[in-house]
Amino acid sequence: MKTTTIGILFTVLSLITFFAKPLFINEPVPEMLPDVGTKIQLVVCSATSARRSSLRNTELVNNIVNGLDDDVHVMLLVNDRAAFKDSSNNGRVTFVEIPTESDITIWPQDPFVVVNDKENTKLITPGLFKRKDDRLMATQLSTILGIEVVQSELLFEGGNIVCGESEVFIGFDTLDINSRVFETSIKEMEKRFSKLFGRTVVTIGNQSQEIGHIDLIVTPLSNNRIAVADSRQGAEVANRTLTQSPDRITRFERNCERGFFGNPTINALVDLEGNSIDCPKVVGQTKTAISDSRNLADALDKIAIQLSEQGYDVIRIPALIPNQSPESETDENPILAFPFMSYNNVLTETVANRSIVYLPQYGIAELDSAAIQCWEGNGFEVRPIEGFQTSAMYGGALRCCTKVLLRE
Amino acid sequence: MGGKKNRRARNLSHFESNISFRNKEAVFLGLFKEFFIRHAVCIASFVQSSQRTKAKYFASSFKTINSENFMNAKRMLLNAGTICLLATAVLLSQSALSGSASATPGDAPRKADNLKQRVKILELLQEEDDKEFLLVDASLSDLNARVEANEERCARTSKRLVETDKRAGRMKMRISENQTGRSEIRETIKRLKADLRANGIKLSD
Repeated sequence: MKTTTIGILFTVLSLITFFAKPLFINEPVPEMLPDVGTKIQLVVCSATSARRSSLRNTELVNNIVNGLDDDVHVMLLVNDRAAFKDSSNNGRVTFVEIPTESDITIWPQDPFVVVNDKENTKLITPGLFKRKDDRLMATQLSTILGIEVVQSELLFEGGNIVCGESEVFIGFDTLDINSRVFETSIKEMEKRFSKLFGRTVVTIGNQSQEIGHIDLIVTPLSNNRIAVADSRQGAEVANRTLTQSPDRITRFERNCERGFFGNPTINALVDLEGNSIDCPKVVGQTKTAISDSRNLADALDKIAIQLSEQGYDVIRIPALIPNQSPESETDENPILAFPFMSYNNVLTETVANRSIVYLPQYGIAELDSAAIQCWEGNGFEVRPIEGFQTSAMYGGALRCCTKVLLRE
Repeated sequence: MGGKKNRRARNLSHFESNISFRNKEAVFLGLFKEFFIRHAVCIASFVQSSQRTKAKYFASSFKTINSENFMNAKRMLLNAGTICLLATAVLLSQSALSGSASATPGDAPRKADNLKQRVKILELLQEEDDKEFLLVDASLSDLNARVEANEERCARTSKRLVETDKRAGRMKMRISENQTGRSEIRETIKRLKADLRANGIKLSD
């Protein structure tokens, strides 16, 4: 009798302690590092040399490093260390060498996503990432920083995922392609991404994306706010400048062309495969870009309405967006012409109750100023970072170039 | 085929559900099993000893009530103690396992955030009078080499174009020669036919 009693008691106690465990022990759940929040502490950038890459970005890296706060540490990925000489009096930058034979881009935002819990930081890589050798970025960082890299089977690019205080926003294309690959519904994919990133997923859009990466047009902010690009507003500002000061626009267009290869006298280069790369024609293209930007406005309005209906407080930021239609893109003629002037591709942080935004600048003063005013009007302290016109010709700006690894 | 794909998807999705705790369940179950066996042995020996004691009690019915109460109280105390011990052990083992559950393979940090520590080290290395960061791309001069390569390539291409143009010219000449020859042959045949007809030979057209 007593044996049975003890046995039953033991079993009951074991069951109670097993099921009551979550009440006593708080297991840390890894969550995607948000794009909003406390002070940025550690970021990753990537620098490519002139001799190894058509899009060399040394000056841009200088602008980013010096534009960020003094105590932000930068891990700088390079595949041609010998090409770079740096100021020896600066300890803010740590070079992370990628094997010389590999080829990397200037976009560390895309090949991985950062998740962390209270104890650990991890880098999650997609099941497949085929752009150059960018997949090596995560592994090299993990070796240097001693953090774990975990490969998911899901397909994603960091640029199409932005993270708010509690939700993660994913562009429709990412969910769509995964639902096709894994033969399941979008809803199911949302659940799987939610599990992967430890946050509720909000899908941006409900049809094929007009713009490849949502981080160019959507910026989550604190207090349930979200900024969505307004290409109509951007087009109006640019059109006003074109009408009132056409010289400025021409100067901007010329600067884009001159800066494309870093040397105004160079009009064409050969890439590593021996293909010729010609300097894109930007002069005279602003008018077309304004028209294209107006055409895109409805699609962006739809996103703003969708987010507004979901309860977010949506603010609009001007943007000048050239044609994104893939029909005009061929192997010989990829879309790299007029800069994608996004003022949503930013980094934000909150320091001592001050909201700070690091804002890319492109060189059309009126448009740059309009964006600054807009951010300031929404309570942000703006830290402009110059020199994004060339990278924008390849379709990326500050967030694309800078991956936040750690916040305070 | 679709099913196969789904199965694969399910297998692959293993990671998602085990992103940070993928070794946890196995470790937990293993240790829990060991713990259970150890305590089952412990309980069995306790039960055996209590049965033996019980037999003794039945054999001698002359024990006083006080001493029986005392023994019962002692046994109950012992039982309660064992149960408390078990519960404590279970709780302790689970809290200990929780620590190792979040541990990850490889060089990843175990408890404190290694990344934060490393950033602290980097900050210490950083001099207070750090000035503006200046990165110089010394390979910019190599652009000239790339331009030269491009020019060489252009020169080679234009040379090839000239050669192709020449070849095209030659081909054109040959075509026109052939055309001339063809019309000459046609004329000759016409003349031959006319001569044959003149000699009374019937020919089809």
